[in-house]
Amino acid sequence: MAGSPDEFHRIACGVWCKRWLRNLLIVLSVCGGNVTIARAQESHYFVTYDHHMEEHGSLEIEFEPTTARPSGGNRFLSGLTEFEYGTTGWWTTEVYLEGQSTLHDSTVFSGYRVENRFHVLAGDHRINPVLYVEYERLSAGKALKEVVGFDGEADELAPNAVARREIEHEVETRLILSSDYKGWNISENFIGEKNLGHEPWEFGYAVGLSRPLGLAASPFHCNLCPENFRAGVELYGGLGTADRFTFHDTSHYVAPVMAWSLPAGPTFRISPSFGITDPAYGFILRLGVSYEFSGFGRAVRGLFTGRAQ
Amino acid sequence: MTRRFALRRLLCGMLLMATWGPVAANSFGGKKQVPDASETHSMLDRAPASAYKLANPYHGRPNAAAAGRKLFLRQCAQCHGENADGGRNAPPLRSGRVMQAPDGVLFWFLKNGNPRAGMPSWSSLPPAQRWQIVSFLKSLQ
Repeated sequence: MAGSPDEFHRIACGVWCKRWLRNLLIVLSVCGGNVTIARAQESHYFVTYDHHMEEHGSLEIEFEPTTARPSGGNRFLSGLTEFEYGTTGWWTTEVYLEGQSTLHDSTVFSGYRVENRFHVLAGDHRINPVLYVEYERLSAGKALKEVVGFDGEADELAPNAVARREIEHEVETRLILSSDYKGWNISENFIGEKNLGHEPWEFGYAVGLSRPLGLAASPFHCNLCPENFRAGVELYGGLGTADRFTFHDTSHYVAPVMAWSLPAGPTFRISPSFGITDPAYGFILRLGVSYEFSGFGRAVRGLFTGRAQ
Repeated sequence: MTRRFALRRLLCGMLLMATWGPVAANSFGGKKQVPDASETHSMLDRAPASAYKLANPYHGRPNAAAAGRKLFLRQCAQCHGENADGGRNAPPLRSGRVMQAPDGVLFWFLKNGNPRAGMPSWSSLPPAQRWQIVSFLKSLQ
């Protein structure tokens, strides 16, 4: 039944998600003890990217549900499943699968994204530049993973049946500048997105600031130690298009972020976003849970070469 | 219409090949990374003079090594082994060169890493935690 709680359950781990998960679990189980769950050195933001790359040969899987309700529209729940692999120490590749369910409407698979991030300079510097390129094929997507151009809540009012008629092929690029200073991380993203269907470039920005609640680690094993928590804030929004580069009529958000990393376990994240301009959603809630499988590439290679790694 | 559809599929396929091809090559047939202590040693030799002047603020604090061991098990042991004896793709850290390196040089190396040799930068860890790891490494001798 459309819009029932069952629909939300389906999107949280729908048929498309289950298939991918089943295949992945098969690979992980065959790899056996060669893959260990590790604590990820990952970004704690939802929209902003920092310069920390996935470790070489590690696979991180993350589920990111997002919910919001546009004014005059129905609440939706979007589900994003992310597979992030450290191809090398300076190159990270990611694939996203995306779907959404809208109350009193339907549940749909929205499409996929493929992205690559390249750490330009070796070592750690005051400002670390990272180049980001993403291709996305989306239809009725509502993950709100970035805000560009004149994106706003009015875009999501169309019923899924109408929105699905349009398939968007887009290329998104980012210049990521990120710094770590005395435990703080500050990251700035300059976003350019191009719909390949002869539409102008759209621009946006995202800025993040965060730090662990405890800078030094406790000598004791504990789940609730301050060093396992990280708090921060994100600010992101659109900057118009190449034809009209402006703050006017664009959406902007401020979003506190909190992350909790269990030792050698998953990382949980939560971020309530508050719209601070008229075109923006009033409130967006983002959640995330991620696991990192260390040595995944080595274990898969072992399967094919027949050698114990 | 069919031709356009086929072209899109071709473009998608090429894009996937371009992005995931190297991943597959890296996983199945790519150059293997072999534990090589000399790589780490040469990187330590490249530390700037300023690194030698850094003093460990946790030097002599008994809890620092215990906290460092906890962090080491969490972040480093997957590659370097639980006892820092080296692992499948990372060198042992009990070698004389690592033990003899000044605290500041190890701290600098943790911050910068050596991505070419598979050692990530741990600049995401606050400086206090990196010093605690250095204290643990020094306690191994």
